[in-house]
Amino acid sequence: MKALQHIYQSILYMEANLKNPITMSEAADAAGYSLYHFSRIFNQATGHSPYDYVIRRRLSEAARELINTDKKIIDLALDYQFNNPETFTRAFHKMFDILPSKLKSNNDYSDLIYLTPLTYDLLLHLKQNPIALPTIIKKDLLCFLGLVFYGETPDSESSLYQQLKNEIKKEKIKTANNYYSLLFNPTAWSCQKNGMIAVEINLNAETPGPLIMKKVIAARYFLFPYHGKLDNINYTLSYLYQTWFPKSGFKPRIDLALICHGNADHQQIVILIPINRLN
Amino acid sequence: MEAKIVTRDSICLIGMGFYGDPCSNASAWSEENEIGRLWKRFMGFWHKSPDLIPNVKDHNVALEVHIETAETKEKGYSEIFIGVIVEELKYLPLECVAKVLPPTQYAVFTLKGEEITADWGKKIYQDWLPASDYQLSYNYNIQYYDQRFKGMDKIAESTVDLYLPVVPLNHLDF
Repeated sequence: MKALQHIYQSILYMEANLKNPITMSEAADAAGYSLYHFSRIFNQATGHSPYDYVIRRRLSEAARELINTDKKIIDLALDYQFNNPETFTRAFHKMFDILPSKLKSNNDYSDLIYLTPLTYDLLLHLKQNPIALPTIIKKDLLCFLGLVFYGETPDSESSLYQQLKNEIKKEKIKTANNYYSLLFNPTAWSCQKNGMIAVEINLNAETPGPLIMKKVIAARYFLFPYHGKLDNINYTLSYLYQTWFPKSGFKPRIDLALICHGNADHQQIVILIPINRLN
Repeated sequence: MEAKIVTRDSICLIGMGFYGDPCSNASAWSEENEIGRLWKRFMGFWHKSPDLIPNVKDHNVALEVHIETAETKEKGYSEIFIGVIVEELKYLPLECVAKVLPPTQYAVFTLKGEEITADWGKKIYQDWLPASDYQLSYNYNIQYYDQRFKGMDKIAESTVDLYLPVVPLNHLDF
């Protein structure tokens, strides 16, 4: 864990200097490594090269300021250490798939996937639960029956799960016995998640009692096995959206993520993320 | 770390190169970094078409050269070259590029086992060099791989020599 602490020191150094001119050699010094070794260890721990991390963090903070303040693009470019607005605009478009000028005039920012600061807890989680190689699967129209939640993703001990189980038993609903968490805003890191816990049912089923039906259109999904604790699944989700997908060449849909808990025992958790298109 | 000082004439290499952050993952599909990919690319070519690189000095030796550039300190980018030593540049296959390393003295460090994957850069550049009677003559280093290197999966049994181009202190101050 010592190496992880050293890498985290370098992240703190970078975070403190997003608006200052720093070199990766200085970041390596902050970690106490030579530059080459630092680059190797940093990549292993974070999935980013050090320079890529700094640039993505600068662009993320610039995007926030662009949305939330009246600052001009040229000022943001210079504040965040880009040589000129053109370089900034190119990098911005590459990361967010939208020009900063267009974003400024756009009222819908929900498509943006920022890179948030990497925390020590997240790095530790990734070390203990490395991302497994995903498979791509195709699913036809899916139909779910369940209960909505707002906040933390409920675990098997929660009253919401008990209520769902009771309703299923009471109404004698036929299901594939796979429990799901459906997240409708999986990339909303700074606010509460909204979603539902549900079971998959066939398309012609009725909606009894307090249960709500949700249909999910046919899509291709990346399926990631997850072996960590359910409490920490948000670390893996944030890593997938912020780091894994940008490098994969695939674009995730950000209006839905499915977490399949198997027989509600959380022993065989898989994350299903629908993808928009193949690049 | 201990070094022995040797003198070498210019070294002519044929191989393949990469420029950027050598440790970044090429894609999310693979654990390999760019150096691993470069080794595979070059060795794959060389084994498939050995006759296209004539005059190889020693078929059991391959070099990995790290060359610092103006962007190394700022962005962590460097040029990585992997190749074999040739007697002379008679023919250069289209798939390859050539490097001619200048004549110079080298401080040679022998890395054994875990030392190969440890932070030898810090020990050599930040500890050994300032305490020695030498300074860098050029901004590159060479990892010299021969039969003593058994593979990354047998790192404990492996040995690699690290060549650092040096010149005695004050030699460059005319």
